[in-house]
Amino acid sequence: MTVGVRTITIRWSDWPVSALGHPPERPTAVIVANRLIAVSPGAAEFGISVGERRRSALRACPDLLIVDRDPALELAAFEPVLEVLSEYVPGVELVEPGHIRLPARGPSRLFGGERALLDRLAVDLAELRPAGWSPPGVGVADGRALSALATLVSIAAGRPEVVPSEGSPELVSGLPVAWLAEIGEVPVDFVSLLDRLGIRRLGELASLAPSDVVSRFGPVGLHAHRLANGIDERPVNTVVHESTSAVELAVDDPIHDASAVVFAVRERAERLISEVAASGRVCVAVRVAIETEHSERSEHCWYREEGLSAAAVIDRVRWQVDAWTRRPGAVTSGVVLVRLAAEQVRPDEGSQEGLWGGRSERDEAALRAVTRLTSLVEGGAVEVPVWSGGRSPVDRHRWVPADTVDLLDAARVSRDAAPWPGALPAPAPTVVHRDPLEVRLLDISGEPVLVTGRGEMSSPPHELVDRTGSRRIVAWAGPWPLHERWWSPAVRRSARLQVVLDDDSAHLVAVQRRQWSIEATYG
Amino acid sequence: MSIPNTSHSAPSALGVPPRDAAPPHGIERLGAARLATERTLPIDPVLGALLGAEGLVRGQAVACRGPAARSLAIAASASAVALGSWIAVLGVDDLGVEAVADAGLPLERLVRVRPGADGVRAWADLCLAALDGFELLLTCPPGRVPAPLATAIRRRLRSRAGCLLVIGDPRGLEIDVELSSAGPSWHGIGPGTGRLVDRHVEVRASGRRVHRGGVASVSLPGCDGRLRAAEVAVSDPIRTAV
Repeated sequence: MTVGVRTITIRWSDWPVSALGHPPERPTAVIVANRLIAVSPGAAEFGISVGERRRSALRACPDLLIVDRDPALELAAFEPVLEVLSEYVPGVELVEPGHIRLPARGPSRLFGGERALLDRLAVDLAELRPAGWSPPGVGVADGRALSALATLVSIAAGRPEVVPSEGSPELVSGLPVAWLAEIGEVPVDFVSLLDRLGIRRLGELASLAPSDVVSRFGPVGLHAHRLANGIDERPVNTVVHESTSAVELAVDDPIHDASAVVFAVRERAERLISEVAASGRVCVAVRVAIETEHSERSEHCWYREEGLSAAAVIDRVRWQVDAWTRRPGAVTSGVVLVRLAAEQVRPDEGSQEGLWGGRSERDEAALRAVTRLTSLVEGGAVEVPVWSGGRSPVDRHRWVPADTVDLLDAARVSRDAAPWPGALPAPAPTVVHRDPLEVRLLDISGEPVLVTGRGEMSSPPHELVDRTGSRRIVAWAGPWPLHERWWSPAVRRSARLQVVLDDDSAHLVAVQRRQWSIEATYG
Repeated sequence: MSIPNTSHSAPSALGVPPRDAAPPHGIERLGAARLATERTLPIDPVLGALLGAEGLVRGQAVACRGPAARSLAIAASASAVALGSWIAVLGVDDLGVEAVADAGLPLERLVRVRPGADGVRAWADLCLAALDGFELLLTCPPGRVPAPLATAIRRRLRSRAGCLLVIGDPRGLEIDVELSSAGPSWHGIGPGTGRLVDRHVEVRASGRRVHRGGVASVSLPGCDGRLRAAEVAVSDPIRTAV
């Protein structure tokens, strides 16, 4: 694919929830690592929003059905959509289930212009989901990144967003910089760095001199700067290339177990990705084709802007195999062939490191142990921290499953040198309660302590009461107000307080919706 | 072509003879070779002085106790991880990762294992698997550890030459060294003033292999999150301030 071509991005932001098959009015949410990633319209009516924690969502709606994310289920439900889209154009790229990209030029010629194409698409796609779910965000623009941004605008506005070729700068200048990370174009820590420098809107980034941006932020900054100027085009020497690297796994004895297929493919995926990496490139699109003994075939092109590690490729194979075998009648025999092709590669700009080389014997031993632990835990998890740049000592890193990231990529945990403005200073608490312990904070006359909208306390806290009894507060500091997800319309306000109790223990307590809880303890 | 399944073999039941005699991937031989050259893992000099010249001896289990148990366990492992060891954190689901990073322990070699609710047996299986590949294992037993399981863990710890750090009560695990903390006092915070800056605490080492039961007065965490030898208090302890 050449650069800057007209591209359509379609994204159902609630797909993980709607794929579960419950009616839209039922309050349902899908979570990853204790955070909501998608909510049903029924849940949204209770004021529950994406990004919220499980506990706080349950407080708003005790009947909320909370389900862990299952990409294979999402993909199985998404297959009919992919079938409909394949009638429009063959080259559909799957970012994840419910999020796809396709070239606009061919089909829009066929259907008499982009508007006509979108109208037709809207009709066809609406038939595939029960009434009550919101329509997908649809964005059309020059290039992938701008069309992804247009799609976010479309989700917010509730109608398709068509950005004319000459109109891209107007689209982007008012958008938050954080959206670039949201669409995977820049790392999250780049956004938090800009935030610290006071650059919050893409227009502000665009107004900087390109030479300053490059010297300060390197290639990532240059790419972000071009996008902020509405130019979705990488510099000439870094264009996305078509690639011919491919690996194949052909077996004589058909494999009947889905997890065995995934396991058998593991080594091939590692070989493919290290082959691409050896030439200093990152694979951004991989085509996964699986064939059975009876010549049944499942084929998808998976796209990931940040680049695909071997683990990410293996994940996608797993989702695809699982989704395929879950469709009734789709698979009648064992798998005999798996083919992985790196369809598109681009030069590695340093966003993805450590894919190969530099492994010590200790690293190898630990990686093997991680694989083994992953196979052993049932109902638990093997996880590693990744930097997410939150403001509180509780969410600056988040835990992700160890098999979804590149374990040897030290950049995943890299922290900014300086903390966020408004961040609580060191020391950080050693115990972060997974479910904050609800407590009451009382003043000297036994009245509950409240924090006003302006971040002032109604009276000094005197005692902390929990299930086990009451302890006196001998010292306290704060409150530190906290506005999470400032770019989201549903801003949640909370404040934090450090307290030292008469047993010499120190805690971080937070108030939200007038409920105090011990969020963390300095143990 | 048959599918290799070495890593997906069933978890080793603890009743069967220990696999230490014939481990996979030749780790055993590497482990033994390593043991010959490096008997200890690097440790913070303050704690090292407390434990005697040997520091964190491979194959040993260390219990960290008292009100600053977690900070102690993190401080004791930070140097080794900074110098290339991997650490598994098993069954300490609520570990504050920022505190770990502030203590100078690089997060890229930290893996957290959440054992689920399957009890001590499942936890012990995970312990054994973690000790196979991680030089440091930070854990907290979910219940009383029966003697056969404790012995299996001990044997694996010895043969793999790793280090086991237990937070709180060892609950039946065999312990070589105990690092206990007592008398905590927070500094820098008052009634409505300042903020938490550092905590002074007394750390005591005891155990079979510790010749002199020393005591050290330390800041844990210190004002930068790391362990520091105690300095003059930056402000009065809160007891006198109230």
